[in-house]
Amino acid sequence: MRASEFIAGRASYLYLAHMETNEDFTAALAAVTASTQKLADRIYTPWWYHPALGGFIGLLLLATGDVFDRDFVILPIAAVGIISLGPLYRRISGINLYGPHAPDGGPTGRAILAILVAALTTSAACSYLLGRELGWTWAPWILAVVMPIGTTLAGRAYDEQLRAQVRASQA
Amino acid sequence: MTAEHAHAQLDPLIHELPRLRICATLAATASLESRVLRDTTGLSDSALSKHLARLVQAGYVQQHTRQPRGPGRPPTWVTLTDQGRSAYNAHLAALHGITTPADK
Repeated sequence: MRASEFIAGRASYLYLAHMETNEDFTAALAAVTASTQKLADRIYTPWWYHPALGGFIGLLLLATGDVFDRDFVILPIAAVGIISLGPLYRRISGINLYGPHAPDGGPTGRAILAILVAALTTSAACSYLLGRELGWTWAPWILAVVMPIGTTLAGRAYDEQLRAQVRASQA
Repeated sequence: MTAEHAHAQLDPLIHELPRLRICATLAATASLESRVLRDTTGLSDSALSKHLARLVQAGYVQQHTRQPRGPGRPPTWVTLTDQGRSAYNAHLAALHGITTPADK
């Protein structure tokens, strides 16, 4: 430790040790907890967010299954919709949940995301094989109804994990 | 960690309660719009601005104002830097060290 660091540390010790009691430090920790609780309470996606995400995923599955003649229109609409939802949420909520230090929902949240991605990949593959290759156009429709419901439920469960992680982050 | 050692780890800049609240809120996410930071910390606009200026000066926080897109003030996003995050985590550990009897 350099002399200047030692002196600065010693000065802060002398200042803080003599100016505050243990209750003040406990109050400081309580303030930390209160702030993160308030932030966690604000992490609520709008009610339409997950159904909209599910709807765009459904469109993607229908396009993959060759249900419509105009895939070149449906695919970009679905892709742009999915990509736009994140920035739209950021703008509405004022909270950025993307980045290296953003909460990820912990192990349960990551598991929910992994299951969702696996289900989406499997659904897209099934939609392609059954709809496009075998001509069973009813199959993509079933997947396009089931996946949005699953996405909405999984999305809300993921949000709950995010809030729990933020609440627990400073405990 | 002894109590004296824990005290020495406290960062006087972060220790002031409003700035501690700001750092705690920012540390819990990637970045926040200043209006959210104001609401969660319970500070007024002017107080928030004053404390953020101190944190920015110390290199603990970065502010980024987006290009205006229409009427109204463009949103300002606030991020805790890596330096700020390290300082805050050390400060938080010191607070726990002081207040937890087993660590004394």
